[in-house]
Amino acid sequence: MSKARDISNLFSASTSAATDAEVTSAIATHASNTTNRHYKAGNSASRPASPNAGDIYSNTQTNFVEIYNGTTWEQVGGIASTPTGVTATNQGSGRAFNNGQASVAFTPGTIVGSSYTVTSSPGSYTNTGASSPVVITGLQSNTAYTYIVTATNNYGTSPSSTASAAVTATTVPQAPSVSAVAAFESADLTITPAATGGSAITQYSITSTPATTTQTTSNATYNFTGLTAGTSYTFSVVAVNTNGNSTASAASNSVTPFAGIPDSDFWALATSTVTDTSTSTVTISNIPTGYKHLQLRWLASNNDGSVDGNVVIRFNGDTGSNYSWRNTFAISGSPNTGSPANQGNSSSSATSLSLARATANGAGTLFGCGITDIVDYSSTSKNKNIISAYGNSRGANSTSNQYVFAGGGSWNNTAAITSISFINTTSNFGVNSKFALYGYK
Amino acid sequence: MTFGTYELIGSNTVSGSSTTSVTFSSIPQIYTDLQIILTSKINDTNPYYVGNLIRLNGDNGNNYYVNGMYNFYGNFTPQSTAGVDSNINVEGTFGSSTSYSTAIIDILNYTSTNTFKGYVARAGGSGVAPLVYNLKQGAWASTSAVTSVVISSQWIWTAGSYFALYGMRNR
Repeated sequence: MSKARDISNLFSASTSAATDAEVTSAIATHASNTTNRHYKAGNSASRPASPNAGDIYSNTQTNFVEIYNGTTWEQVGGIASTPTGVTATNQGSGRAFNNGQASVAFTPGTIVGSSYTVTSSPGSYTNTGASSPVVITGLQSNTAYTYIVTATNNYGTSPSSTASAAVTATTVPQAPSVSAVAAFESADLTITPAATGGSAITQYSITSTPATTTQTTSNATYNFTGLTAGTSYTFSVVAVNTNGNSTASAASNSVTPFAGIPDSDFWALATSTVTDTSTSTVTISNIPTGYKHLQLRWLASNNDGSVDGNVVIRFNGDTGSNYSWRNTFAISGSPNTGSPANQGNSSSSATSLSLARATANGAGTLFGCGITDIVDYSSTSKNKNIISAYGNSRGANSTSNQYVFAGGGSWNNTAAITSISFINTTSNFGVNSKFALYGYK
Repeated sequence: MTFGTYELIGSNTVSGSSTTSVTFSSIPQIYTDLQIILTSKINDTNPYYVGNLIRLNGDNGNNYYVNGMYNFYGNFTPQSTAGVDSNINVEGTFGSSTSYSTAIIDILNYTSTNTFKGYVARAGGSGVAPLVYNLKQGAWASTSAVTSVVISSQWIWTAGSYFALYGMRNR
């Protein structure tokens, strides 16, 4: 006996094979005809005990028609199975701010779908694809999303999958803003970052209008150099993170860099600011002649937050034993006492001048500072004399010693000073340590 | 507009007989460092040294780190102080009728909004004993930009006392 042949008879007018849907519909119709139906119906446990290959069974438990293939009952048609194993991967590279992207992978169920729809939470961003993975776009930056997947075929749409683990969408940063203040043949810029896009901003790329050079910094304040005094400039900044570049900021206010007053007797010559944590030597070179004396005004911290940095000064890269110095100091409220001949430290044949100090600075806000004057620096007939007043800026609540120094010394060389180096012999300088050089006419 | 490296922001010369405080407010944020130069004398001969007190942005809390050393009253052993204070105290002598105390106070990177403000203060008196000279160095423990400076004394300054504020630019 063959139940399959009975089904065939139901569609005797058809010239082509019945589709699964037609079969299911026909069987459902006949299943309601309890007097003339040609197959059995019931729950899974009531399937025929000894079926023949080709036997048909209407499973009222699953609502699917089944055909016995000689080994097991095979379901005929049905709604696609629910996908499983949903995982999401952030794809932030190059994505614009608030247009993030994620790739959602999954495992189709036993009855595959002809399409799969992925939906996010929150936001209900959705997309449909024919197979795994499906890519979702339009995600808000720096927002965590979970995803569910449904499968669809001719019979309908499966229930939703279990949600994926949450994944944060990252993108390029939001455009920053920038303001400018005129400076000497340069401009002091203050950059106000906007949203990071979910990934830390690593750098700012700055351009001027009219165009000069593209300059970069990792700090929110920056001196944009190389400008022409008397020319008006605006500036635009792009924020960069691992995903790429933000759109450009709106142009800054317009500023006009200036030259010094023509008859000024005190000139700003150069400034070097530490912008990283790997700098142990700061050198101001190419010091012009034409001035009588120099003054250094400096702020220095030690990148090692637990100890002060011992900072020495050298001229023209001279590492020979050509320096003499002496200082007197007070330490943590106690004067340096001793015989009048030993009221401090000194060295008569040193390889550098010990006339500066960098404050241990774990928080990044505290800097030692000093003012160091160099007399007659461009003479070619005199050794050079140096006077320095400085300290490590500490308060009584500090766990480290507090120092204030007054010192002087000489570079025992008659060459004109063309470069000055501050060398941290303990560690590296902290970010924002700054060394500014002025010239007296 | 022309800008200079070193410019006078403002000055005040005492002319009356009741002045104990001078304020520089609305300090332009266009320089890098500030320098205060003062020369002062009080109308009282009792204290053998007197302090001019510097406060920033009106802050009278204990937010001024200080470490100093000084020599006064013919004592050749340097005296020293350290701690936190409610001001930067630069000390001089009362002076004779023509001798004034003098101080130069440099405040570095005063517009910064992410670092404390380091200072170096050098002060002394001259003329009659007791003399005093002091060097103080420290920081104002605030990340606010300095917008005002108040110089005050617990004594009344005599006419001719002079206070000036300068701005200095980096390149």
